[in-house]
Amino acid sequence: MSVVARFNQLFKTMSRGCLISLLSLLVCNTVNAENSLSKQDKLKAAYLFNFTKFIEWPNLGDSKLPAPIRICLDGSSEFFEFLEQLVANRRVGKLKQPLAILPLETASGCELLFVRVGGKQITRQSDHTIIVADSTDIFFPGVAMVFYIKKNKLRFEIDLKKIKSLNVAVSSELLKLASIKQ
Amino acid sequence: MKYLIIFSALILFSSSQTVAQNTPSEFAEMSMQQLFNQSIYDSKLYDDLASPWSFTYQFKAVEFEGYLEGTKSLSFDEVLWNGPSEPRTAKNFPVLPTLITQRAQIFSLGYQFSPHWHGRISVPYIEQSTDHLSIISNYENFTLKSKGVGDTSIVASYKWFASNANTGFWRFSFGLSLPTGAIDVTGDTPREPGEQQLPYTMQLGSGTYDLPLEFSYQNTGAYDFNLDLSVNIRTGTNNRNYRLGNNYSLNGVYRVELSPTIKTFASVNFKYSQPIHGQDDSLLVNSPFPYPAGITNPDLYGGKKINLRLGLLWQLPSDFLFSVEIGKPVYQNLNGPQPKEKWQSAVSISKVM
Repeated sequence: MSVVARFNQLFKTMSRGCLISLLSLLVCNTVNAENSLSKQDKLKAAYLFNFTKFIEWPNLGDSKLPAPIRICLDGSSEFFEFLEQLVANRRVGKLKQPLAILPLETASGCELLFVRVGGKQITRQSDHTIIVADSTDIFFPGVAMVFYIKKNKLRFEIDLKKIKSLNVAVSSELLKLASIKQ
Repeated sequence: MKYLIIFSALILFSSSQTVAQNTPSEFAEMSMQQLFNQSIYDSKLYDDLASPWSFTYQFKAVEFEGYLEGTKSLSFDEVLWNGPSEPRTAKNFPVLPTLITQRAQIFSLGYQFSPHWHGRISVPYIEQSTDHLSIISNYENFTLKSKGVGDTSIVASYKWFASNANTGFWRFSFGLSLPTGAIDVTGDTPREPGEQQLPYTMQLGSGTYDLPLEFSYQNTGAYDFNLDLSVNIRTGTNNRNYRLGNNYSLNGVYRVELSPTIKTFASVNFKYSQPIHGQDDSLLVNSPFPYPAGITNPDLYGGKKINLRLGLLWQLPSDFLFSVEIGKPVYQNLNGPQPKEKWQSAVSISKVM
């Protein structure tokens, strides 16, 4: 077999391999697309992740062993899975802290607690837990941040008095974007 | 050809699937300002950004001083031919550039067609200055300057996520550089009285259609880094009978977050450049040694360089991104004698319009 013929055969084999790989990728994409979470919920998940970049909690390990920032949820399993994928392998802050998404029922303590159902009794929060409410319709004791909708866009309000009582440092960059409740 | 069509169709189909899907990685990559601009109803990301248009202004400066042949430093005395008292060789010249300064202001307009496709057109405005020593009377010390629009580049890039697990994304960029920069800039050189064609370093463009290509991986997980492999392929020969050498570059950048809006970065860049192919005969003199200065000899271009760069990235409010960097070569192996790079710097500001 000539060199040209061998090259042609190799090219054909590689082309078929590429096609099979691409088809596999396409199938994977389609499977991952089966996610019926609303865009509003996806945005809330992204906001929760971004909040951890702008807030510093005390006593969260040192530079050698940074403790994870725990985000606890009582939301749907879809929201849980989406946020878990969103923060996977990401680290935030000066200490390069990892993030852990935990179901509220099993968490031993949380830095950020996202509540979607009002009126629950929560005993697992620490002195520094920031409670973020899903909407202003939810009544929940100790809420420091709450999402709301304005002109079809997702916004959030920060209760400054509550935040100060939690002894956490909130970046001025975050405060600039928030609506402030004095 | 058949496979190419199928490949393109699959890429397009795959990309449209991914656009509709809005992966966790895409949401994780969004800044607070981008989240702020999102409508809660539109299923597509980025469509409700302030605008898909972006504008970048970049100022770059680079300075060359001193000489290298390979990795060996040469003094000005070794490269300057001092007249008949000294043997003339192919490695010494009666005219010696001592300090070359190049400054470019680059104006880029970008458009985000989709979360995956981005297009950009860039136009540089270049100012160059070269100080010389020479043995020719009345030209013992002289400076040549040139300025004007350089080559315009149009680049498209396609980005895709490595997976949904936030491990990072790949980007492939390809484009065309148009020969809008002049290659017939003249000045008063000692070659003869009046205005003459200036050497290759003083021209503003390549004079050829070039193909810039880049393949890069950006890690967006725990460690924020990217690796870029880029090439600039020159095609054909310009109307002055030469073609600048191809450039090949491997770049690694590691970023460290100092605050939610400020990052510092360090990068290592390995660059290999080829010498010039062909020759502009108007730069030669009628003598057994036809090159009056090293920079008129096309073989004395190109080589290998490793540059270290340090910089800061600052995300300012209202979608402004400011960056500043300074770099210095740590290794140069040049086809010399060739002026060696001393330092380079860049400042840029980008704005989503």
